[in-house]
Amino acid sequence: MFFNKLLVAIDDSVPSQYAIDIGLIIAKRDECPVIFCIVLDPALLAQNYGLSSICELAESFAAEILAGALKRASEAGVQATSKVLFHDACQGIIDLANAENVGMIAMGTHGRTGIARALTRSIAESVLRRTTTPLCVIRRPPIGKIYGRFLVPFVDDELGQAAYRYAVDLAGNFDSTLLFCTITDSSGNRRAEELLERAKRFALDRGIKSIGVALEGHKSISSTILEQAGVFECDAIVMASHGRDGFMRLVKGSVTEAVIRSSLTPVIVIR
Amino acid sequence: MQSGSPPQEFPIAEVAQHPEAGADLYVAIAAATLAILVDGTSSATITAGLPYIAGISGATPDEASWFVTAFNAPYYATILLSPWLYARFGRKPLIMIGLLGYALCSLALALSSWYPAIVSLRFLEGTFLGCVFVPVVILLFTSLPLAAMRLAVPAFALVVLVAGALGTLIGGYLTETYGAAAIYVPSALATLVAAAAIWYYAPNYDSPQPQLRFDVVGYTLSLTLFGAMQYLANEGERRNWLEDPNVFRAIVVLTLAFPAFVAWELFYTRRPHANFRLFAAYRNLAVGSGINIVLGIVGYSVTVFSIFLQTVIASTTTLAGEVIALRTLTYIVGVFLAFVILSRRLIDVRIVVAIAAIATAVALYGFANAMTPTADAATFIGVSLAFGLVFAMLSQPVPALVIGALPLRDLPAGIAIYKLTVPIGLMAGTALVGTFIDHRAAFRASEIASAADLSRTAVSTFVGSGSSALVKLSGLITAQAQALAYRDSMLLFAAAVLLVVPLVIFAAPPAPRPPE
Repeated sequence: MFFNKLLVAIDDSVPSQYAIDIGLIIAKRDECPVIFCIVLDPALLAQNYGLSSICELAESFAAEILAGALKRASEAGVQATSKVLFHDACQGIIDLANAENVGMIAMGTHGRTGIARALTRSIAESVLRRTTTPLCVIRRPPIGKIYGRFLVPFVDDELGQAAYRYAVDLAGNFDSTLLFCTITDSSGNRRAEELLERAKRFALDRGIKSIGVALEGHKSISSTILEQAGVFECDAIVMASHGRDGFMRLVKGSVTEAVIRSSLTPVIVIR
Repeated sequence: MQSGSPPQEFPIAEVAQHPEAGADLYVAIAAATLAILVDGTSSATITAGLPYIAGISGATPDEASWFVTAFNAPYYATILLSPWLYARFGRKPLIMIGLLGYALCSLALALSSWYPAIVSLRFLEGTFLGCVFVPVVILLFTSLPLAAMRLAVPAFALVVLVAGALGTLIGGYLTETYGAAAIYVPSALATLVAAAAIWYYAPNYDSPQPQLRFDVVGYTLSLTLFGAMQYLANEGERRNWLEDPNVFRAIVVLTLAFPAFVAWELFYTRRPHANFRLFAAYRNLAVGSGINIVLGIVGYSVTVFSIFLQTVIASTTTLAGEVIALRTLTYIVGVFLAFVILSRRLIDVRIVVAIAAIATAVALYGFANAMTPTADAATFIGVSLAFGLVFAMLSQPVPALVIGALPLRDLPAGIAIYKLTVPIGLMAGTALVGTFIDHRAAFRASEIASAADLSRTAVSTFVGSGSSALVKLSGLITAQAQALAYRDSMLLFAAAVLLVVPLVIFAAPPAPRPPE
């Protein structure tokens, strides 16, 4: 059991159903229990000024959604429990993950861009910036077994190392193969090759098959990563995030969030 | 309930969240919003076009008032019945019956010029439209996904507010541009579009309860009660109240029908359709209904303002409607502000309502001061925008107060009561303020005329200026007296809205903040 427990945070959206899919696939393979949770924000439900009917509607609807998820878990032979929380959606998920000591949080995302993204808050991205628990985000239906081949983009820093180490552990548990990739910069390919060699050696030492690809950074980094995931038919992407928030995020942006918003495969993010 | 008698059985309709996704969601919400808009504008639209409708049917003023009464009495009675209809027939079938019936009656009205046919069709039109509001609001609430449920109440409040402000514009524009028959066509087409959209896109999760028995006596009493109220609101002052035997009869009918209806529903029937016990069980329902009645009285200021614009400053009905519709621009800001303040719990809902009521009184005072015979439409732009902002902040929390305290099983009944309390206030406002304006106009005319004696140099110079000077002077006095009477009525509205402040003190405190 690699994950101890999986937390699948859901709502009534379509991507949430994909999160249930992926949660059940992983839990079945890992033989770990799943906790399905729905977090209802009391402020957003206007519970603060006593709109009990709307809260009651939301609560009974949440119970209905969770009952559907539990039924699917039972059919898949996965042990599962469920929780409805009245809390800020992002903090509620993080607190529950910490309290239950889960190994990973799985969530769906709409992957909104442009004006829609500016107008609506992405709970998945908010969780990503604040949690230290690994997070698996999905916006399209999972195809296949999702853990066959992981694409592991990384750069030469502490977080990059953490990403490939985590991916190696994951691959060891799920019998996966790894595709390491890094972006070449102005210093040329040599540095990139060294990085890839180091990661491949680390994987080989633990009996994991891997290949490495140095990518040229002509286009945006996120689209280069996503292109490679398609070319090499990877089942999921494992990457690290700085979890920048506020002004720093505005200035530097986030490659991980850009990947999440456009990826066709699940993205597992560690911090 | 009398001791020893079997317990009353209230109809309980199924209310559950069945959110749509993608285009279905938007179409279902748009259709529900359109139906609420038609419902909210229908009465004011016809009132604005009443002189034109009377013209094509050759109806006298006495007969024309039945165009309003014949619609409103069954409309209000059916709103109160609609939670029962919802439980009996299911949500979607009831919406379809209501919308299609209303559309067909409206189209038939557009082709009718025979007085008895118009009155009969108006009766049916009101009956069908009364079916619509409760199930459509439930459709709006239950079609939203979880993330958007926070928007249910502000969106609902905004649509209801906007509908209330657009009726005069729509009615005025249609009758002045296309003639009286055209007044029925847009709402008929809008309901047909809404019906088609709901038929195809709204989810069908209905469990009709055919075993429910119709409360014939209760409905008849309610119809009689609302008919008498509406008749008095229309005709009371026009016929000089107790000097007219018909008004006297209506007062007797109202005096008998009201306690009879309440007693029947509370004690004498096992299958009531109106659940008055909710007022005792939920304090905020009673408080919110009281506030809504006050808002209904204040809502009559729209009609008074429209008459002022048309009679004193000689604007067209369309222009009057445009000036009234101006306030919708700031409604959205007011609703949003109130929502943010309340949902973030920055200020207690009772304080928000009290402050907004005082601000609304100040805005009405501003209206009163702007109402002079020399004013024009532009004079009211600033005060209309300010009124829109504060009135929206006052109105937005009220649905939460009225229906917010109710559990899901009582939501349809709560929505019906919420909907009905505004017209009750409006009818009271029509009767009271209409009488007040007439009396104040007479008093002001007498006051100004008595001051205009020939000992004043300006008056004697004016009278001596030509042969038609006395006629002109009389006209000036009447115009000034009317303007002052309308100004006085706005001050009365300002005083009335302050009643909200003591009322809201009785509201239950907000639910405790959930643990975080």
